[in-house]
Amino acid sequence: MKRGFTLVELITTFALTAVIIVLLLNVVIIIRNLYTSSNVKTQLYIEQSLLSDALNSKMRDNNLSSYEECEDKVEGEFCYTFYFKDATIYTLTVSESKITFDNFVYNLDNYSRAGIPEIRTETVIDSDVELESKKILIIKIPVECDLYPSIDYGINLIYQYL
Amino acid sequence: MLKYNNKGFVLAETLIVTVFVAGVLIYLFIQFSNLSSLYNESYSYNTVESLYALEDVVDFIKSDALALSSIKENVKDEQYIDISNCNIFISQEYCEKLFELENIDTILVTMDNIPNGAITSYDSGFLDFISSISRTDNNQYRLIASFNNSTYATLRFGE
Repeated sequence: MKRGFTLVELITTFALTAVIIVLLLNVVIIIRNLYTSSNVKTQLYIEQSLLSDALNSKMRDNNLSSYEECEDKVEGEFCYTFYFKDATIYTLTVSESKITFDNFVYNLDNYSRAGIPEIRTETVIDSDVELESKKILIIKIPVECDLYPSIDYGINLIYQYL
Repeated sequence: MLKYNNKGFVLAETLIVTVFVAGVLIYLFIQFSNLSSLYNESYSYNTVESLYALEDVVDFIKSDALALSSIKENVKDEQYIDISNCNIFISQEYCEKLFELENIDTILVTMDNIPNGAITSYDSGFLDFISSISRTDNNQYRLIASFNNSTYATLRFGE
């Protein structure tokens, strides 16, 4: 009785095993990339929520009075000072790698960067209500991530001077 | 003399094992799909930014006493009203500007205990979100909104 395998059987087995290993490795790489990117995405969403909450809660609780650009700001950084009706003052600074507002500090990771913030007041003069104009403060701080370039992880805050 | 080969599997054994393995894989796939959709939902339902946007809308509604009382009457009669076009407000231009700045696509006001299936004529993503909202049996009102960035949010507000 002959034992063992023929050469053809061995070659076929190795070829099939190689194909299966390549497929499995692909699956492992995909899952690993998914894990890494979902961690990054989750962290970005958490920081976005925290930043949004930090700004929104201060604006609402302390009643914003006015704002202006900081007098002494660092090059490459955008800085705004917010004055509130209870006499508190908070500063918002935005650079490519860091956003700070009061005690809140958001250090962006290597994949992300903050864009140019847009802070402006819009006055809406309602033609339906004579002589009444209302102001809305808009604060937009865009944050982009290299891994997810089509999504903005920044904030878009609206404050109504009601 | 013919050799009788009793190695290998009969067809029935092969079929049973195949069906069993296929069943396990299908079950795992279903569980993975559920997890995946829950994961995606967590990014698009009730984000912090969208909730603050709805708070802004609530503040605006409460600043317009006529609109607020009209909303309350209409919601009790019709179960929900769509305020996206701002017709119900005195300051219509301001309302449109506010919704534009908050990126609001559609916004409804309902009672908190609105029954399932009461709202039908919107896109499936919005309807899925509405069906996921947990309802209570109180007399509060609820804002339900869809935003232009494909997020959804809901916020209860009182009398």
